Amino acid sequence: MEERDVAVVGTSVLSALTVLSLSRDHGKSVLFVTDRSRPYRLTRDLPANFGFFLNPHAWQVLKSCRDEAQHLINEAGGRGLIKRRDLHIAAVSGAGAQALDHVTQLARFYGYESESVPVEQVIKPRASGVVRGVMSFDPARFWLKFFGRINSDKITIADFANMSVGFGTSGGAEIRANEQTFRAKRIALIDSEAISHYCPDDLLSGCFETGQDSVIGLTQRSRQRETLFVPEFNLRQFVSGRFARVIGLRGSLDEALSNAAGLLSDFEPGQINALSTRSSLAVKGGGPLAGRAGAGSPLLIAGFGLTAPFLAPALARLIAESLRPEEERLFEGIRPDPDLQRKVRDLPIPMSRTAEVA
Amino acid sequence: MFVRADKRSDNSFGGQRVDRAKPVRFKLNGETMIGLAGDTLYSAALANGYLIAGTREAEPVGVSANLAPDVWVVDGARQKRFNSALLQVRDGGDYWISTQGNEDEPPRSTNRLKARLGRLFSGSDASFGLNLDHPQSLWTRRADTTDLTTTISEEIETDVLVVGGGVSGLKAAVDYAGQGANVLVVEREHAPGGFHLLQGEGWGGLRASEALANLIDDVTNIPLIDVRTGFLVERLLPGSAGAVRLGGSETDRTHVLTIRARRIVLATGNTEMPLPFAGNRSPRVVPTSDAFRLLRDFGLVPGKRIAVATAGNAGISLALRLAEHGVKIEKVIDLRLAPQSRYIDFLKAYGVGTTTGTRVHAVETGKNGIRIEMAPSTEAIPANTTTLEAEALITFGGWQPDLDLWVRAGGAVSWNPGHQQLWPSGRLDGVEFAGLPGKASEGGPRQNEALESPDGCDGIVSFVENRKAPFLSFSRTFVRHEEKEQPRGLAGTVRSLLGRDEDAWHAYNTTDVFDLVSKVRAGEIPAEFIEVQIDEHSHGDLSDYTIDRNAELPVEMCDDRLVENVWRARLGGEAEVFNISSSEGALARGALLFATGEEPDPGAPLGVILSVSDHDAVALVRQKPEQPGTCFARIGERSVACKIVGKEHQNEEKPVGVAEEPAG
Repeated sequence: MEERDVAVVGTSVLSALTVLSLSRDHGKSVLFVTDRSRPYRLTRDLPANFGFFLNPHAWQVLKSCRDEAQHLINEAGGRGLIKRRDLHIAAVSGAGAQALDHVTQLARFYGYESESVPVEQVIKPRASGVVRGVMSFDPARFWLKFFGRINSDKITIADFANMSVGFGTSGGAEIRANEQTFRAKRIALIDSEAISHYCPDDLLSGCFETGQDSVIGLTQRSRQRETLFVPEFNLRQFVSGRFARVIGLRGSLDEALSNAAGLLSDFEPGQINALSTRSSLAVKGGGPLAGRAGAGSPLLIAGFGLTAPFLAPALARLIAESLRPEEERLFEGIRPDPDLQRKVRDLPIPMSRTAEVA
Repeated sequence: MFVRADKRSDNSFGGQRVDRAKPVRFKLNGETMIGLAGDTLYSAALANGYLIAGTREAEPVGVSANLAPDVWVVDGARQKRFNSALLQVRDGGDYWISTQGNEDEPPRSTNRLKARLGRLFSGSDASFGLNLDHPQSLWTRRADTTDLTTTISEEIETDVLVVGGGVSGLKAAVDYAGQGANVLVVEREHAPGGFHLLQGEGWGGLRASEALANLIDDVTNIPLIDVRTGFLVERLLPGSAGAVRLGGSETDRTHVLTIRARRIVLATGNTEMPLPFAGNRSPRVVPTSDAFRLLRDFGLVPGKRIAVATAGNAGISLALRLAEHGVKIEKVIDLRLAPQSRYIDFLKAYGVGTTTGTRVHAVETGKNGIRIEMAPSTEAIPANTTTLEAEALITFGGWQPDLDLWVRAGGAVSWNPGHQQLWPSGRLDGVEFAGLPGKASEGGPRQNEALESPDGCDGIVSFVENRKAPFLSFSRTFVRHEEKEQPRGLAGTVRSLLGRDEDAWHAYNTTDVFDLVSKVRAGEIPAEFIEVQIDEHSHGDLSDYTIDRNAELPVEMCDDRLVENVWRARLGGEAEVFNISSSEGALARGALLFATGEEPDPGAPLGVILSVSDHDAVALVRQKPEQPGTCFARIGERSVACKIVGKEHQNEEKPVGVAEEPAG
């Protein structure tokens, strides 16, 4: 039986970066159970959790992780992958507009150039704002480079679709993959695909609820803002390697098409070149969520959305149990708790769990 | 340099669209040129020395039809933009190349001096001057299709729609018409026939050209068949399709077809794949399908001394056509080890030899010709290379069935390892294929595989030190094969700083089929993943989907007091809503309040502003502030002193901050 310090199960960019950080920065041997066909699939990374940005601690951790995350992404995905873009945010409800103003103020507080901008006819917005020079990258390009660049002898890659797992009583697990059995001292399930497949049932039903996400690839460029985020619909429009533009948004195929058409004045079904709908998990009461529900629980990490790759160094420290004080404060408030049934205003601290817009 | 080929006595092939007896004089970028009646501006420009489309990553890229630039037509004070490959050149015409792809661009922005200087430095080879690092260079006036004042819209209902007017499509049209069905054939070129004259066989004892002419006659004489040429089918779903023919002159309006059909036959034929060697899109390197169209339509050949490098019989067939038109074929370089084709035997009659088991390793383009470095096709890193010089190199890297519309309609695909091609798989209701290899009986006649060797691909990509990697396809995407080594150190840093805007370029890549096939052939990605990738292009039937832009959007915010409640949870249950005011400056909704104006701790705010009205605001404030009655609002990097005026009496029915119009 092969021994590993950590097993990471995940198919998202966050999982890949966390694995790299665990190996490189913390000297851990890692079994990475993932999907090698990921470069050829549409991106699954939807924004999620606008409410997360209402938390000053989240901005603080994002800022402190920025340089580390940039190095990790460069190492795994190649130099020049990260682009600086203006992230345009449009709110269509009064409450969304109020939240948008608050996020704009917090972004400025933490040194991002951000401002409210005149309402444009992109959609039917009540308000719109922009955070300038936000780091972003194309996940498809990241994945195409990633598998060719990970050659550490501390990382073993195994096939996501052919894995079985038995959880231990102290946060570890026995994993059958690559026709071998591995024993890992800790196991982390990162993002909804890994959690929906391998999370124990009681935790799954206690912490998550199922929904659907859709991704639409279009053949025509947008006359409107290409990096656009509409929090109320978890809608994200961006330029991707394979399409003139990609729109990701919450909902089934019908809902997604209807909402995209209602929100984006230049959306035409005749331009659709790719469409993918999948089941997704949402953290109950809003997200994100990171940590263990108890001593024997696997580490669950989900719902960080667009910011996730830039939090990878902090999440690696969570797994390696070497958190910084500001990270302790952030993660303390978003620990998974299957018994948590309280509503927004009853919660004493963890506002990032309460402020999810969906 | 492109020149007119010798005219054949029977005039059956080369130069079908031009009248050699009618020269036309026109101006391009201020320079007087002579073309032939029937030329497009693009073909006339090529005949006048244009060999370079523009530059990509500081290297020149050769002309090709899909890089044909838009041009401004100047008629007195009026100017209008057209694509040069569609625009018929006319006597006395005044044209200026558009290099910015912008409707607002001044038409004469291409500097005449610049054009002259460009020609001076590149010998006789002129450049269209496109900056191919930026997609705007190639924006065609596609937007005009939405302009109803210049667009004809037509709705057609038919029993059968045949997409593609090659032999397979025409045969299918005749078959369906024979069963009494109304058939509409939509062909993107100016005339039906496809690539049949390049490598098709005759039937019924007739030569290929005679058999095709008879078939076209049959189609023309059957009243149930309607053939529309020059229309590109841009979208297709089971039961419906959309096609467009862009206007080629001011009197030739853009024409849009919306078609409903009970059955759709895809006879979209093949697209050519490039040979993967360094410099495979350089000037003087011409794809076989481009060279075939230029010879057939305009009688143009890329030189009088030409080499042909091929992985299949189409390249050899074209070499034969060129030899028939007086072109000296220096050599045919076939990477297959023992190819068999009737064209090889025909070529021998012209004294042209074929070197087999040999591939192009790299090319170097000069002022007057091209230097071709060859290597054994079995050696990835050749021990020795030999060289050959010619005026141009025509290449053929094999065919890939054009599955774009099939995939868009929701069709699945599978990799065919025998043919090294991606093929359609599964079924789509009401959509069928005609003319696939091995399915000759369903469509038109195919080449006889017992006598003709199939296309080959050695899978070797020629990476050459200090040269950029080969391109994957002839499309506008300019995607390259993965370089073996990522540039590191200073080279990597410089490249990173130069900021190649690849994302924007890839935006034009509406489907990756050809790029992906090239990668699979070269062993860069496993074949099984191509099916995954294509699967995610498919979107099924959206034909009944309509947009209601006036529908109310379901806004589902969980809580209209989102910010207030979040901060109540954070500040403690005793926090209350107060009115505040400031005499120092405007307040901003969403700003945090602090007890001190210097270096506030964002983790310990006093409150948050919920709504504003100029210098007054409503804020949620933690009770018992340390300095009663005062606080500081943090607006960006500035602290604004505020005074807490008194408690706000909230209307429980009306959420705070929601009734007001948003700031900004």
